Amino acid sequence: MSTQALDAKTSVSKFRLSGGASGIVIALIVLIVALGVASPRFLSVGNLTDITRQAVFVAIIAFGATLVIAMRGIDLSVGSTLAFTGLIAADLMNCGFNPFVGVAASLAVGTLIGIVNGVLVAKVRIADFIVTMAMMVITRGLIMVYTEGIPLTGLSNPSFQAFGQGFVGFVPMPVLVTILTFAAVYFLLYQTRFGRYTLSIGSNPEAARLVGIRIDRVKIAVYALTGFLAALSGVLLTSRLEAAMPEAGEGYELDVIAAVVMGGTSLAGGKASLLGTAAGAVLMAVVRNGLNILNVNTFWHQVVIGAIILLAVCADKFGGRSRDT
Amino acid sequence: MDRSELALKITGVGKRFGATNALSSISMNLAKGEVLGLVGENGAGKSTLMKILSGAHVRDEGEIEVDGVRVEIREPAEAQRVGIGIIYQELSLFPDLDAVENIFIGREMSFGKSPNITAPLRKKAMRECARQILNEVLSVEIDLDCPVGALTLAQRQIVEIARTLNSNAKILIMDEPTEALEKAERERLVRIINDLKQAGKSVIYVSHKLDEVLRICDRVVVMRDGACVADLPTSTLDVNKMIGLMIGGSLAKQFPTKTSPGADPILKVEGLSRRGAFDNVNFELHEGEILGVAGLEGSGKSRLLRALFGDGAADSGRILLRGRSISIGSISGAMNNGIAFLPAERKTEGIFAEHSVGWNLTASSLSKFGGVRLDRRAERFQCVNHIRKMGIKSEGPQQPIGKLSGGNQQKVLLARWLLTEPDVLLLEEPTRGIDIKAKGDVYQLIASSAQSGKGIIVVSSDNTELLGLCHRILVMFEGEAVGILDSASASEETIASLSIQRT
Repeated sequence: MSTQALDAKTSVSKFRLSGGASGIVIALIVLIVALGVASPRFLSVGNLTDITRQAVFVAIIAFGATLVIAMRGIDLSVGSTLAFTGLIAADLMNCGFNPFVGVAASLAVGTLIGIVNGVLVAKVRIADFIVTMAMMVITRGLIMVYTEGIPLTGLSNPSFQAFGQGFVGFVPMPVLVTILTFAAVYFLLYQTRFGRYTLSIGSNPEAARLVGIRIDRVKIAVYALTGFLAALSGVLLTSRLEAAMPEAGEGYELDVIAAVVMGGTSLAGGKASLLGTAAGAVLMAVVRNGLNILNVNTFWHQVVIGAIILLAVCADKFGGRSRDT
Repeated sequence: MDRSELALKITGVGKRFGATNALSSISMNLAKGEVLGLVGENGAGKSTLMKILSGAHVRDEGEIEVDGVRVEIREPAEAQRVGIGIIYQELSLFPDLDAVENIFIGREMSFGKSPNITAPLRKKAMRECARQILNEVLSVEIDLDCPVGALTLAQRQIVEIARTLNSNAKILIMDEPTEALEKAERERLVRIINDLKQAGKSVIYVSHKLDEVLRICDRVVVMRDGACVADLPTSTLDVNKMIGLMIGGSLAKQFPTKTSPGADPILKVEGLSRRGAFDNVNFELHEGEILGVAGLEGSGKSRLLRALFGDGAADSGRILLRGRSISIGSISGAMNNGIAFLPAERKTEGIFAEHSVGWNLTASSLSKFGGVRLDRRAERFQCVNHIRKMGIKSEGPQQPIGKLSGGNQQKVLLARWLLTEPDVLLLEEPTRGIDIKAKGDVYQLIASSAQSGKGIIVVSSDNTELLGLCHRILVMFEGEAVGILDSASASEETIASLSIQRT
């Protein structure tokens, strides 16, 4: 075979939209059109910007969670980690530290939380569900102990505000950060050994072990990455609100899982669609926004989100291959 | 034989898995109060037949009669209902429950006229009943309050037999029941089987231990390649005759011609031991040599092979690679020393089913392709190369591996390890579950790897394969290397009798 022929085939489809992932794009378009018809306000520039701003916080974390779930893991601690690390950044700045110190410390703590999760899952071999749920409760508890439930406000440093509120050209800073994060995780997942190993572990852990993959290390790294991204999201949110809210990120773990699973990444592991995850995060934001615009009682929001998660998991179960049978 | 005395009658039972004929037209009888021995090599179809009788598999054709009545056995509960009970090799008890709870699991006695699932249990009655079965029927003493996980293996087996008896089984299937038992415990089991026989129960006794089969059974059925090849009274048989029947005049398969190995030892193993797995194993492997390892299931042959790959590493002894002492504590350590390992269970240990041929092919040598960023072009080039070189039938590297036949999947896995350019290639059951043609191809590939100077160790339960493929054959028995045979002078009989270690 000539090299040219090889090259032609080498160009693997640029964005991997598996069956599940193309489904989400269609669902997203249908939903946007429907909401646009139902309420003209929905398609206004202001509202679309709002949606994007809401989507980015979930999206950034969901990129990491895509790897966790593709590895047959789960991380429930992300919402609390977001709030906890946001608080650390805010508190350091209020104590007079340079914003960069605050941000760096916040990212470091997020990564550390991920590493602790990873070590407990991979080395101590405790179920990921239990480890990350405990971590979720512990960090949220620490926040409440420290703040007594009162938001930390008054973050007026302009360079910190720029992080969550600024623009580069006409692109809002958080959106730019999200795009860069997407690109970096995309590279990790599809272009590096680390990504291959992550998917291999999700596909067949025993085979992965027998081809010499050091499963522990990969797992710890994936949880660390997710912790780091939760912190990044936390810093962005704190900067945008100019405050660290004790209840920030509550329920994010479910939005994140929903975004990932709706995006076509299987809970059975082994396959991941990062673009699907991005679409999933936007879809979650559209749903929440749509419910607001249609004046649906807030209490119903949870019901809708829960139902969407169940639907997505059912679609994963029946639409794709089922590993359990 | 009077028809009414038959406990079980099987007529023309067949079963196929995909293209493979696992069982073809099996017919046999079992009288009331008879102990029937069922022997055959691994893969002869014994377990498939037993699984059909116990409801784990459903037959494709043929008839099964129990007590002269035609029955359908589509699931384990139906086997139980018609009175067939199986005592599995791997015990199927609940380790945290005590003997009484285990014996009554699924058929608890409860108060009330039409007991439902929430009715209170008649614990005293169950206990009394369990005690009666254990003490009076089986004449053994077992602590009824102790969780069965804490009992000895032999005691657990007895609990399992008691459970089967409690289900009113008339036909008991015992699959390798003495495999893990000490001598005294075996004697007790023999006594129990005799008692069961006196009580009019029928037993099908599946075992590799031919001398035991001769002692315990009234009649022996020999299976080979999915068919019954002999059905004879024990009095007309001896161990050698049985081995002969089991092996048959098997046709010489297409084995490649052997080239003589080099003079230099590539791997040397001295006093290698792992507690509970294998003990004091010594051998040398030369460049270009194919060394076979034979032995029964549980003889330690696989554990030995895996230890050389750092999976369940040895706890004492030395491993020398080209004269240099190395320690293999982990899989990545073994790989760094140029050791490769092809596991037996292709589905669960080998392939990444949802990924492509190429992905699977390069899974253990990704570090060869680029630094931080994977060089996908180089990767693809190697894949295309190996697919051609190994004669893998596929649409190319991007085809999902799940779409390939078992034989082609196996070639991909072999290619995966050849791509790591190993010095020592460890192969566990390299031709299990693949068709004859693919077997021939795999043999060729193994032989040509040997010719290129690699040292190869093949663990297999197919002795014909070992004789045809390997230069020498190491025979394992209960964790010990009981002999190294030159395959030019060895025969299947010598391997079989060494691995059975009859005296």
